[in-house]
Amino acid sequence: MKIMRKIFLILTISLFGSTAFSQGSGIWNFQWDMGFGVGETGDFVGQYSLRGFALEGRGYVTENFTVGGRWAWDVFYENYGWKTETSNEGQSTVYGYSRHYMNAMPIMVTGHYTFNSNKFIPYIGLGLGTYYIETRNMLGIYYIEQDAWHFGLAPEAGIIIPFGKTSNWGLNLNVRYNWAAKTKDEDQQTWINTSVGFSYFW
Amino acid sequence: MKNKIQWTLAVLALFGIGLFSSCYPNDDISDSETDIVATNYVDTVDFSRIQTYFLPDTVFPIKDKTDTTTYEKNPYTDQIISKIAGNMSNYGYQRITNPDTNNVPDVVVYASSVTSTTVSVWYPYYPGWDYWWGYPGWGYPGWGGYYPPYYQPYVSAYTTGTLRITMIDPWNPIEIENDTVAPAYWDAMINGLLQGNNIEQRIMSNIDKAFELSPYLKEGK
Repeated sequence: MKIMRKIFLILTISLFGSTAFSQGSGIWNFQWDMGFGVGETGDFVGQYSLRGFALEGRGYVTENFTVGGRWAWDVFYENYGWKTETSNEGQSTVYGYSRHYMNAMPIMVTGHYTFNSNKFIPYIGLGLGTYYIETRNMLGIYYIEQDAWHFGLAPEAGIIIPFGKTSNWGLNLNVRYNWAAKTKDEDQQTWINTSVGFSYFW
Repeated sequence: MKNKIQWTLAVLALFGIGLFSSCYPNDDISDSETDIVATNYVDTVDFSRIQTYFLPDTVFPIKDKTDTTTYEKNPYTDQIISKIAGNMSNYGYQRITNPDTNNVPDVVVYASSVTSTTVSVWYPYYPGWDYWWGYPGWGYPGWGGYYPPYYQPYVSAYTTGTLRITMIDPWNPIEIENDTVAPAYWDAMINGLLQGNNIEQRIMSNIDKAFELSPYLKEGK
């Protein structure tokens, strides 16, 4: 995980140091990412996760359209307890204390459309970029670990509820589908995030 | 701008603290939860025709055939042999304790074990470095000096033990890579951390588990 910490620091500095939003206004989002795996990812780690964090910056390029970047770190974990697994057409059996982990780090360029509304700011958007995903299948103190960079897409829909007419802050709620494509050696991964956080309009 | 960065980083810290230590949550497990039991068998073997076995009273050390080191006796030898014999008896096998030409067991079942210690050393910062040793031409006597590491390295170690129970047929040897060997019909491997005050109990429980995972051994008995 040391490389992930370095990448996070680089992204933090670049996101906060950026003055590239040409309209001079935009949105910073700080979100608590929760979620659950779906498809084969759900078979590996299906338990709902409360461990995740997302950082996003968006800049208005038109009145309703923003472009920006997003970085997040989602951790999925499921404890399968004592488990018996059979392989080699039933000739081999292994019994042990099993846990599954998946760490996912999306780094994306995003585009969003915000709808005009009197009280709330609903939006839809799409992220395009890459996911670094590390999975670990642990039995006792032993594990099989796999990691890869995946191409990915992340459509989402959400709503920002400003804290007041004159406040720059708002509550941000959204749902996002994450698709990390199959690589040469790794399967695709898919999960859904349900996130809550704060938005700051500047 | 500076204030914006400061409060932004503060918000970041609010959400970020704790997440960096959560890559592998709940990864602390108890000593017994480190135990693994694995079994293998040859599905072409007819276990119903195997009725008798010989079980040596020794737990052999697992080592390379060129290793001439004398290893200490496994401290749980008597308990292990007794537990294996008990399970074999429950599965309908008859133990032959003094085999001879008139009393030949169908197979040999033997136990073997090995321990392994893994040591990890982590240096949190760079070790000390030498300063310049001086510039003779400038007249300086030389700074010299060696600074010991600011932070001592962290050392951790753990020991695991592996117990194997193997059923072989020495009366029907086979050739593998120019070696004549006795084929193994069934093999069980038990592995776990050798720490805590319930090691014996865990070994006994895991031997039972190995037999529980091998119901085909009961065929025809």
